[in-house]
Amino acid sequence: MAPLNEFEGVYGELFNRIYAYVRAQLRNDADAEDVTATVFMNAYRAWGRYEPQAETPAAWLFRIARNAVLDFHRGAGRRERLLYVVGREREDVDDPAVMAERGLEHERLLGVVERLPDRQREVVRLRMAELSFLEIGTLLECTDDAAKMLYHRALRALREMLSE
Amino acid sequence: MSDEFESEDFDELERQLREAHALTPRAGLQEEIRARLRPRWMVPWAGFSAAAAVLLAVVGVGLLLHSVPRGGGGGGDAASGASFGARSASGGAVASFGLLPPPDIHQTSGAAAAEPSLKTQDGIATSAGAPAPVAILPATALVYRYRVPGPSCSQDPNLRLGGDPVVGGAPCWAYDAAVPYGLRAAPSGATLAYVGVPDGSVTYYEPVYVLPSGVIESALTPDELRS
Repeated sequence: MAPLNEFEGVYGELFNRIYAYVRAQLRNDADAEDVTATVFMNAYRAWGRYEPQAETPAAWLFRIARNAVLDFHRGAGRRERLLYVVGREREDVDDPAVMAERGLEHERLLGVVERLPDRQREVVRLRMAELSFLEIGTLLECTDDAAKMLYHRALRALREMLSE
Repeated sequence: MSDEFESEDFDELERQLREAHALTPRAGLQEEIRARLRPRWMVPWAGFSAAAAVLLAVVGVGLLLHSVPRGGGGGGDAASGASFGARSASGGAVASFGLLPPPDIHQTSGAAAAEPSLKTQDGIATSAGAPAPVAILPATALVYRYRVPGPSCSQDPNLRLGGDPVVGGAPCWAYDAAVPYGLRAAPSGATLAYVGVPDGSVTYYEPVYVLPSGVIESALTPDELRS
């Protein structure tokens, strides 16, 4: 069992990564903020049951984040958000024209990721959240090699979809 | 992994993916969620009697320590630890990590606090019997945990035992058993508590372990004790 006082360190270390992971799957910042808060509230409640020997804090927390996002999508009237990731509100604008164009490219790319099969989509998102293949394998219940292979299949599929 | 994947160049695609996934939270969100979490850091007390025992025990230890001369004991008495460095500038309203504000609870009455319920044996304060009833006892008490230097953060280690001084009276309370770094391992079944230890005109919270038997031991490692 992990000491409760270590939760603060995990919170500080993983907050931005969890937010980015959640935000990439949701339609807007407000939803992402709500789900991120839910993730950490759930994590805090479950922290006493976290076993450091079994998995890294990142793998453990991203498991909670995955479940929170899935729960969100299961909510009434929200399923469409799983299918269309558009209209994101990006604020990091230096040159508005360039950033707008780049933002559209990102939206398109995220939309294509959204169309991947479930496990391929998940492996891409977890990899983009900087999880190791070992951690991803833990989350997806497969070996790290299998996770790596799944990831490359996803990349290959993405490239094909983008060239269509 | 199959070599067919190794031979493919996905660098550019991965770069684009990383850019697309680089979604940063707005400024202040992390602190806002931290603040939303804070009310959940409540201690559900197991029962009135246990809470009363702990309350009386720590009050007694605080008073006891108030009467014990400090500085020459060779590290023997129960909670004669260092007076800790981090202090709140505002006196308790800010419940940020690293600072232990005065407990947000009803304090026991002066009569109850003055009850001599403890005695010492070889530097250990020992419960002298069943605690007297306490008239006002909250169902929950706010839990404050210390910011601790973890593997990925570099907070001032002096913050880890920082306590917010309170004036006189040595109000004290048992907090959730989240053991800060630097404390010795908790004995089996022990509860981490903080006792108010008067030092001059202020009182600092210092950690003790309350054993199931009612014995209270300092939770500080020997090198944390003031010689």
